[in-house]
Amino acid sequence: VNEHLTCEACRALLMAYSAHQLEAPAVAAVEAHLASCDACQREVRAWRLMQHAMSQAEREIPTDTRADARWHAIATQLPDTPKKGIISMETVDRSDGVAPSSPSTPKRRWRWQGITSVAAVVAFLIASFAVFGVLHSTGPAGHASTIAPCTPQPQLHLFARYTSISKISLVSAQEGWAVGYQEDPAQQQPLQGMFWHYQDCQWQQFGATLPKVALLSVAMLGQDDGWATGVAFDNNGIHFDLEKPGYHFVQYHYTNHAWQPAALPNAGRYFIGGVAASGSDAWLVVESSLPQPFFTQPSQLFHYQDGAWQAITLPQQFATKTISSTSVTGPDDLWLIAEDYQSNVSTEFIARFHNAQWTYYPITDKPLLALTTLTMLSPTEGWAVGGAGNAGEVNQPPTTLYPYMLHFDGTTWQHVDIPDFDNLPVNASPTNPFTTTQLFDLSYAAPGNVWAVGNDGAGMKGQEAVAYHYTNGAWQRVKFPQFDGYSFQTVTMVSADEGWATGQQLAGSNGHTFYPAVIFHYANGQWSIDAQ
Amino acid sequence: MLADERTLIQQVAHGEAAALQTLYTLYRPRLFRYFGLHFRDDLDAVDDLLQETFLAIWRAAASFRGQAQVSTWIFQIAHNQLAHALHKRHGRTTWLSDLEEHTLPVGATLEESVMAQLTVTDALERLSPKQREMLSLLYHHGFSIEETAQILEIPVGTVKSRLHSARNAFIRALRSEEEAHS
Repeated sequence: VNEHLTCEACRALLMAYSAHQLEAPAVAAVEAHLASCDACQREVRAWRLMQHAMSQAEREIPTDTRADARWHAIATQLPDTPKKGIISMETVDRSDGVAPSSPSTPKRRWRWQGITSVAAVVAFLIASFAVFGVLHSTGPAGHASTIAPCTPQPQLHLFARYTSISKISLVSAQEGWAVGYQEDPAQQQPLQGMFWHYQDCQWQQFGATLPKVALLSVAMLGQDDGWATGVAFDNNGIHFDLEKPGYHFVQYHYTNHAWQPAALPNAGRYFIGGVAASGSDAWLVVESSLPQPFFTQPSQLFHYQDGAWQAITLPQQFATKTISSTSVTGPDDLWLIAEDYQSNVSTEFIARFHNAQWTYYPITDKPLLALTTLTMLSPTEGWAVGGAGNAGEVNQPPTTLYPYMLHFDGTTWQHVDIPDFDNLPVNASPTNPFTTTQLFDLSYAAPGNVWAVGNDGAGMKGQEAVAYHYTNGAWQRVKFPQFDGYSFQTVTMVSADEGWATGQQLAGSNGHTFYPAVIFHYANGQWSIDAQ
Repeated sequence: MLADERTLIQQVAHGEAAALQTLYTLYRPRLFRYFGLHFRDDLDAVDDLLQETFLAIWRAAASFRGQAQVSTWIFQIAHNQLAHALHKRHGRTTWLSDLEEHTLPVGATLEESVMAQLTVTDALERLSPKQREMLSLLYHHGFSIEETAQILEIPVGTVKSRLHSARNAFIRALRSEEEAHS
């Protein structure tokens, strides 16, 4: 696409632009033209206005309450004798026996001592975007409301097999959003960024896919206000590879019932590490500036308030720090984990930013390799989880790795034992690690009721979903024999009775591996697969 | 290992009701909204359309040749059902006619009208069912202009010209709604 579009050429693209159906170079060309053309800007507004009107109209459609009865009506009309037909070979599943050349996330590559691989950190960052703040206005327990969790009909074919879900953010118990991307390197297909919308008790893909984009995070501020961030690749966009140049970062704003490309401070130059939201305001963590490799530059922080993003000047304490997780308990109360990227040993702190003042809580626990996620219930109550053990050789995975939990009681952060990992020795044989369990994400279901999720790399099928549940003052492991081969990555609890988790299934045969996305739903006291 | 949608169509063609049920689970929400846009006050009509669409999928599965995406093919069937239903309800004239094509310059006051949501939806109501169907495929169901052309079985150029026509009609309707409100 010519970067210098005429008005006529630009207008020919504006409908597709407004529907997010253009590829990145065309988007760039259109936006370059729009920046200096008022007439075409008015044209875009006209298209978006119509799109908005369509969304309004669709929202007025009543809920479908007859799904089951209708299916029975259809089923009774099917002929008794099975219908035979011969399908052209073109229709045969092209993926039988075919697998991508490389697995999707998570890719475990170890960059330095500690448990902080690039992909793992991305996963942790994704996992850390606090949605709790959105729900906090009613309190997590209060959020349970009087509406019982619905029992959605599992959707077993919602995601293509190479789909990854990065993050879920709920607006309410009845509505939420998920973002992610689809990749298919074996077929040389470009990445496709995707939004999914949860309403009427069901997840559905929302809008068109975004070519060559991987969406990494989402945080909703309200029913018609939310932010999503991701990466757009400038090359052919087939591989999700953040270690090579040739990509820029993109942000989307949900408003007027549509996700629109949005400009943020220094947009395109920074990796947007995470968004934490609380009602009317949001916090944005910005990772290393380009073209530096990841996690070798200090993080930056932006605050969204009154409809605009403003940079927060970080104190000297953050000079060599990268922020790996954020949580908010309400407006003007941000908590975060800061990790030193220059040190081989963990020199971290948890910090609180409140009333323009920073409070630091140094974390010096010896076996701790890295903290990954924290979640705050209130300014005096929270949990953080990370990995501890034997760091192993440089650029090699740790030889021992086990979850390490910290609790904040209003004054200090203190280690709390969890079953299976109490009193583990820190020295283990490289060939015989004690455990490879990792916990990636935490979420409060109610005061005194917390879920932590992750995976165990020693599962029978290469990995096994792992969850720990904190109730009655203690952590307990919840076993999932039915989820052998699965992994949890994020968890977002609605109440003590309902919650959501994302993850992946390790699947494939004949040496081919792929990771289809999975959404898990917690209801009636148990986790089950809601969509995959 | 999960079957993909093409495999499901293949299974439906071989008479497997369970595969049709899976397709129903997958496509019911989208098709409900697709039909509901036109019959939101008549859910019995939406029920009938959904039933007819899935029975048509059952009958036509063996003819699926795989040149199109499964979603495009299913919406093509749904479009035919919808066209038939709208034709029966409104008669040929209303269903087939677009609003008058008219190029309208977009004025600076447009931005102000963004917030007038009632006016906006009223303006949308004045588009023809066919125009709304096309916009729904593009905006709600994520089909490209090319896929929309396939579903509606019309040339790509016709989709584009109808799109501009719909947009102009929408802006014109919006203007008149604004004038009526002011």
